[in-house]
Amino acid sequence: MNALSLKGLTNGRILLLVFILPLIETSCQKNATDSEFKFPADFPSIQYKNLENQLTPQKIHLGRVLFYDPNLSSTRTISCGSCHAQVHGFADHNLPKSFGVHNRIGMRNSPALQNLAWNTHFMWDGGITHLDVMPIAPITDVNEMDLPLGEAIERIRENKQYHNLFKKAYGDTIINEKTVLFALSQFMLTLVSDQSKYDDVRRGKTNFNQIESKGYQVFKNHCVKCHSEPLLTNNQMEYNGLTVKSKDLGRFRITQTLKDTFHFKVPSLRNVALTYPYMHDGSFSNLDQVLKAYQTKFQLENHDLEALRAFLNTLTDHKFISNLNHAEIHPFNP
Amino acid sequence: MKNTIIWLSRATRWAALTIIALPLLFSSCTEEEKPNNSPKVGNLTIEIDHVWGMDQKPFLMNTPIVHPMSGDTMTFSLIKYYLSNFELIKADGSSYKVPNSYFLVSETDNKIELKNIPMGEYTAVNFLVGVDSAANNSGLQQGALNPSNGMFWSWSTGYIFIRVEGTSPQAKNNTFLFHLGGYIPPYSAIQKKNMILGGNSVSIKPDAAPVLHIKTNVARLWHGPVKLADVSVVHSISDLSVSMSANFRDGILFDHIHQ
Repeated sequence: MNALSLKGLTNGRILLLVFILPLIETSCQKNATDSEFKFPADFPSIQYKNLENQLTPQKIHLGRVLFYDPNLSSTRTISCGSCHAQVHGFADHNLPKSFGVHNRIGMRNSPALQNLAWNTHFMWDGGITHLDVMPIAPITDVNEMDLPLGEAIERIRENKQYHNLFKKAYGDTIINEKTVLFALSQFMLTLVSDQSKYDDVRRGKTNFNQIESKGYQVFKNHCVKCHSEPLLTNNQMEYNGLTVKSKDLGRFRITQTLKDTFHFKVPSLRNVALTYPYMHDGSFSNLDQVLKAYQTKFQLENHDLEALRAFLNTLTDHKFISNLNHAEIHPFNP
Repeated sequence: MKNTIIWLSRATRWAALTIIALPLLFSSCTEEEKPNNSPKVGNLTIEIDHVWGMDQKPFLMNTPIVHPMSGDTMTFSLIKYYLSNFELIKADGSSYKVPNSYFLVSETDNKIELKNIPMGEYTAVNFLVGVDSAANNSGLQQGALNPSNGMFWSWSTGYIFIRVEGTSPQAKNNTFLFHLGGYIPPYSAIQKKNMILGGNSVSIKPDAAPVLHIKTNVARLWHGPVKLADVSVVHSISDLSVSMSANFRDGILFDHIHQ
């Protein structure tokens, strides 16, 4: 459309356009991305706050390359994607706790990355309060990627092949904490799961079968207070009432307030069938163990559990885990 | 004929030059006029001298020094802290808040430049030891607040306001490490300093380069005293983080003005 409207214009007008175009371009780009990515209209408004970081396909792509770059770990062996695998709904490969560099074991179970745009607090204890600074924790943690942030930035800067990606994303090759972390946020913001059978039912496209329907009722009676719809988490730190075996004090670590002891962030139930093992410490290795634990707490019948399990399976988003826009890429070594 | 063309083109060249040059001339005129219409501004340098104890012994890095209260022998390898949100107060109580004033101070990076302050006589300076809660909580920051500066808690979003590290025979494992921060009550370690310039005033004007000299008594951190045998490591919010940062604030004192 731009090319058409340029026809027949004088040089002077083209000059004027040069000044005006960048202003228009942002809105044009937005339209262009709309076909590729937009937040679900029937979800609540997003919580991610950074007006300076408007989504563009180029920045999302840069973020994706960074997400899968193992050079962000001290040993150049572990990327964000190592412990957040798409096939497992961006949780780890069914490990209770993740392996970092030198096979060091992390503190807690690797959380499933999805619908982060609606999060106000990150990590199991909610200690991190903005998505833009979230990656600093796994990158610098000695048991995870173990690389000082400044060194990580320097490594990206040294890799000349990145320069083109930054230029496309930002218009120049300035590589710093801001341009790196903003791009990582962009990719993570696009990890939206809203295409499960549960969502289709919610949107009136299909119906639950009988047992799923019963399970949904059990869910609404007992689970929805913390796993509130449609994100299936209230994004709060709660005590789930189950026995805590570890010395991990949860939210207390952040607030040093006794009432927060053993409080952990409520994980979303989306893709829950894929993200085993469960809880902050991965102590429940399958869903049946989790349901049994809650059976006692809520005094549920066996057939309630069976129904609940059928409902939880409707939360698996096959389109999300097979979305090629989220898949692992290594553009520099094809 | 040829000549006329040359002449014409010369004339056009002159005309073109004038057209280009005129706005330049005008702009330089307006630039000279502007300061007369808008309030005049000036700069202030704050120089921080680090001392050790009430008797203001020199504070030495990488050298064993004895704490005047606890008697602990301390060898410092690192000291860094934030001073922020500077506000200059006039005798009539009116004040000027210096926008985006965040500074990471160490024994070597000990000069703070406050720029474009409205001209006037200022009798007090207010600032925070630490970083205001908004800056702790609004995502990625640049400059002095860049998380690569080693003053950012990655696992519990927020800044380390005061970071001191070193060795001591009295400390467990021979090392001490105090990372003090936290911005949410009751564990807020943000400390407000109201510094009256000893009945003097500092004159801010366009052609002056005044320097405000202040002294930071580093030993004041362990006022009480806090003995290293009892506690040699603090790296999260705590009562101690609050009390030590308050003591540190009280050890930052006005010294003199170099006008």
